[in-house]
Amino acid sequence: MGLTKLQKATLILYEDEREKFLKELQDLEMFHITDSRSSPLVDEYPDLIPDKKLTDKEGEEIFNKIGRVVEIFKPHSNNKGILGQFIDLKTGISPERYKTIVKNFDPDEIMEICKWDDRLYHLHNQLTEFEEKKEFYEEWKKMKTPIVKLEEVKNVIVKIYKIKGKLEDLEEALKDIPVDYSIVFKNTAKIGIVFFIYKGFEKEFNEIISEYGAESVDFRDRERSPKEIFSECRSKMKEIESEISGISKKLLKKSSEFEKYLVLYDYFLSRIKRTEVLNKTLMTKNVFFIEGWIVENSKDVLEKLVSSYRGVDLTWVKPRKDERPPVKLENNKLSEPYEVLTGLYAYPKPNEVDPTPYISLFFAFFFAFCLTDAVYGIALIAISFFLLPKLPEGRKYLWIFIAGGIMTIFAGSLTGGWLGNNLEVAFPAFSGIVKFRNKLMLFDPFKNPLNFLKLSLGFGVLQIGAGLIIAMKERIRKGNYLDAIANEISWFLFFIFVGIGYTKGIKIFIYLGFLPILTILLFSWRSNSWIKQIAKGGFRLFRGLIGFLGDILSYSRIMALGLVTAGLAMSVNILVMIVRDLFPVIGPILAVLVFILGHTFSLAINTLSGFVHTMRLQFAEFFSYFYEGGGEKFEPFGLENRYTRIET
Amino acid sequence: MNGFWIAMAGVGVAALLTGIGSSIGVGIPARAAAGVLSEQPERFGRTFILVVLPSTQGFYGFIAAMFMMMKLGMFSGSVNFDMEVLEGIRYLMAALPVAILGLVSAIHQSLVCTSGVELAAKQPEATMRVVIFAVMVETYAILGFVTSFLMINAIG
Repeated sequence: MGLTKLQKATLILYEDEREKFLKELQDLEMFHITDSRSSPLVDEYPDLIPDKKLTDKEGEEIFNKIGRVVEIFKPHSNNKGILGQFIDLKTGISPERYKTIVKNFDPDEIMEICKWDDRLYHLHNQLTEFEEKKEFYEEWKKMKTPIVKLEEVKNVIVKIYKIKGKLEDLEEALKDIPVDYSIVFKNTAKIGIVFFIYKGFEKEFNEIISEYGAESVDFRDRERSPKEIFSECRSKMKEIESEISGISKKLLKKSSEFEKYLVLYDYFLSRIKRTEVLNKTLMTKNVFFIEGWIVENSKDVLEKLVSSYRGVDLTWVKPRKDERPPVKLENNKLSEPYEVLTGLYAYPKPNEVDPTPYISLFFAFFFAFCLTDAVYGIALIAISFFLLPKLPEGRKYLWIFIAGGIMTIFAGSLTGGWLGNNLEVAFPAFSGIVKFRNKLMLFDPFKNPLNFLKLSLGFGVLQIGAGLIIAMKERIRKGNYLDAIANEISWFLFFIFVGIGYTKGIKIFIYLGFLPILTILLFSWRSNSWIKQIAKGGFRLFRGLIGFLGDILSYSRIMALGLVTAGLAMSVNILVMIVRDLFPVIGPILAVLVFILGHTFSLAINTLSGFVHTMRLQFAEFFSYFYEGGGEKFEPFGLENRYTRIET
Repeated sequence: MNGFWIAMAGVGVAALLTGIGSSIGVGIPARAAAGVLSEQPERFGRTFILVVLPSTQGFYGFIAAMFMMMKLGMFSGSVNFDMEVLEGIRYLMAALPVAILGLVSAIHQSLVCTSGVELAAKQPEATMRVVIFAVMVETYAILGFVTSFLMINAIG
């Protein structure tokens, strides 16, 4: 348990062997490549950093096109279901299929899909244009003569307007001007009119028409009649729609091969990474100097790989003094799932303790008492087992839920939670459960909430005590004995003395409690100046006393969440009882529905709350005593799997 | 003045204020999430967690209200309609911690969740870290709930 032993290595790689070797190294997924350019080596060899960044231009170009193809097909191929909404599900693929897809890769096919998409985009734009045009000319489609033809009439000016007001009023206003007109269309909102005005009367006409709020209409295409343009729009739209339908069909057909494009996406991403990773290394024109780490047990695998290349040299080296190796967690099967929680907070520093095994001791217990319902526990286990084969990406989380579910059965039995404490209220047929429930029940959270509070705070004392012990162990491991005595050991002694003093009423123990307090004040922080040392020690003492109290009180959330689960389950049962008795025939059917939906909702919301609050207790309260984090995760140079997962 | 109706006011205040807090609290990040989903529909799962977080305060208030109703004998049919005014006031006072802290913390939590929604859009892998920050705000609603619960329990 703890951190895996890693060995540092340097690889000298010649350009001739670069691609082949890096591909094999990538397939192995064992070697973590460090950024040599941010190491002190750069000061010694500044010339080993080239001016230009290395890029795989061809690979990037194809990758961008494939990325586009994936985006095109995503809406057609969203078959991830509800689970896919919550977790990034990857497509499982066999190594053989992966190889076949890569082998049969045809760049022209990708180009063609992109061209179809371009064409589709262009056609949709055209369609919108024609739609707007058609909509505009639809009102004027009765006009069979082009505007230029009308304008050929001598001494007449042609103007087209849409008017809102009454036509009779306009006629009255225009009666003294030599104007003729023709109504093209008339609807409830507007009237479309073509006016023929004798030359020389335009000014008077304009003055009158402006008073009527008329809207001048400008036909951009004056050479053809509105009727002709309207018909043309219709036929063009039909043509475009038919072409769109043809391309869409072709795309839909190709979308059945979505998996192929996902594989190609990941393949080309991996290929780009092979070049990009070299930008971390020092290099000359033909030689790359790669530094990295490998798990000590896997050294021979790397040696074997290197031995098959003449242009690659491997040297096992000691890390520099200031160098911090990456961190790889190593835990037993029971603790391993909790590594995701450690990763969520921060990976440990190389010389720090891995908190994962300790989280695994407490997490399931605390989560269980947040949920406090045995049937919810059983449901959680069943759901998690059902999802395990479907969700390889969430495997660790599911195991956490399984462990939590098992403990929840235990917690539910102790607190009498079997789909609430009143299942018999909803279904009298279950009244036999009362005896069984009472037999196992230690306390009823609603009747004895103080017992639940004591239990929750007890969990706090236990976990914070464990935090102090781990911190003490760590100080001793690093040889800081005085620090351990003046901090954690003193706090333990203080609580033991004061505890015995008060519970047994022995005064001498209370006085003895001052000894560890004095030790903390004087020695918990060491400095060259006594004044500084005491001042900081005083601060530690104060912060410690307040901190313990605050941290332990924070565990009362376990009781609160447990009560919420129990209360919500009880409410659902009461609601079921009300619905059942409300309607004579449909009532019982509705009651079953309310029962299922209510408890499903209660399970979902309380599992979420229980999980995040238990996580918070680990991060904010427990870790503050012994864990800082900040290490770099060991991430071996390997294949990219943004969308796919190679099934072995 | 009848004590029973004062106690009922306590029941109402616990459920009402926390309910208001939660509905406002869920509404604010939900609007931000809707904006994110318009461009990144695949972010639904991650934004969903942040949107539902401020809904818990409503449950704290609801459970406190239910506990008060239980204490008042509303489920067992033994309601004391002639309750003394002072006892009614006790119920009302007991409802205040969960009601006020629930209301305020749900709204503040929603602001953290809204920032989280924006973060989830840019860095989905960092979502759970924001969830932890949001849970920090909820601590005070929990303390309010525990206080109310113990106060209600202490009433005769």
